[in-house]
Amino acid sequence: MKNFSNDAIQKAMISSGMIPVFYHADIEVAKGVLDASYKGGVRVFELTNRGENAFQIFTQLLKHAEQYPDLMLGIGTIMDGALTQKFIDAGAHFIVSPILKAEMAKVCQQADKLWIPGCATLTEIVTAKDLGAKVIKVFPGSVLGPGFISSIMPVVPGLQLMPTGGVEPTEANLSAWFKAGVICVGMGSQLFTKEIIETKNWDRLQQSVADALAIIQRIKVKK
Amino acid sequence: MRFSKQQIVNTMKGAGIVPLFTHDNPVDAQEVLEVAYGAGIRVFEFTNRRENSFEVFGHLMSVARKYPDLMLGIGTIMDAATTKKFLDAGADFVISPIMKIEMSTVCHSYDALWIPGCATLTEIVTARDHGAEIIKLFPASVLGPGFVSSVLPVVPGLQLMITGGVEPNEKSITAWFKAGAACLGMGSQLFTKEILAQKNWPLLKQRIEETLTLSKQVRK
Repeated sequence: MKNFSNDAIQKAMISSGMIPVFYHADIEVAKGVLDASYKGGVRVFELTNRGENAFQIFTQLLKHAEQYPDLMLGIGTIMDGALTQKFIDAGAHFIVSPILKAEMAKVCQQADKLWIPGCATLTEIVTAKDLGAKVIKVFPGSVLGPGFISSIMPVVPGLQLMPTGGVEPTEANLSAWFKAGVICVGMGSQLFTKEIIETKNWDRLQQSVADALAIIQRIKVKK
Repeated sequence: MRFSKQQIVNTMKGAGIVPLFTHDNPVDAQEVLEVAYGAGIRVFEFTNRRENSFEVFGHLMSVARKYPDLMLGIGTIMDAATTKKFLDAGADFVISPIMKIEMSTVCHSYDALWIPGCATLTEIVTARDHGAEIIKLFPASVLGPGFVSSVLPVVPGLQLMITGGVEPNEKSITAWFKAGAACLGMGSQLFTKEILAQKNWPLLKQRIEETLTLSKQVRK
């Protein structure tokens, strides 16, 4: 089983600037999306725990991902300590949550796994940081907006923030987030559109992923 | 404490405007404080955002002691130890961008005014239950005046200080007071980079006076 240091995962997040966030109950679809994302340039991928079979899908996908030695596969939408432990035992490289739950921090720290809690206020963010979070998910991103990031960054310098929820793969939207100071963005339904998934158009998905990553690289150079 | 909590809250509400400012040069910081005082400011927040903010604050405190009606507080405080350090240095009140309970414990032991920063009604009510008389809403530009008008009928009597993106113009000031704000914190919009770079104190004085006048007019 592959293993990555928290530092290596954090660096990969920063350098690509984007983490796809995805779930599908059909393992073949999940594999297709993972393959297309990897070929499009993704190296950090988050499968979300949003269906009854999510655990089976995750373990199968992790096995499938072994062919990509530099692909980091984490699990998202985790809400408590027990599930955190279960997915870490199954080999998850990192844990993402839409909420800030201290018991998850403990489990991750014991296993030396990257814990990415979801926060929506500066109080929650600083609490997460005090509990050891190196990267913090800002959720729901579209409600808070880039203005939230630019307001809080001068107050707590050095925060590593990843907005998720409503981030769009367009130059205007991505540029607003990166200018505000985020280290990377999480992108789900805006990238994996219903149409692409239904038609299993993996070539087009690979292209969309590559386009989004290229936009981010351009924005970072301009910054 | 030089002032009672009630005195400080009343003065904040009276003016409607609390300037917030930081600078790493004690001479410039003193000039800004004295210009603000000359323009009518009686409650001033210095923010702890630079490496030498504690030293600069100490200097400002020695200046503030010369003005018996000037209340000087410290902002951008994140923990109990720093709260204690600044209260020992004479801070008249303590402001934070977050709601951290351990800070309230320290402030209560000094009988000092604690103004935590909150962004949800749950955080606001938690702060109130821990004794906050006045609560800072941050970042206000993200929440908007609609947030204030939505929560006030639910928890009547809340005193909210709006900070982050309040602009010194009639439209912005009117919107926040109409929604029910107790007072407005104003920083970079008042102390613009340009004014500070040019040390244009007459213009700064004029801006503060105009903003204070606006704040009085729109609440009539």
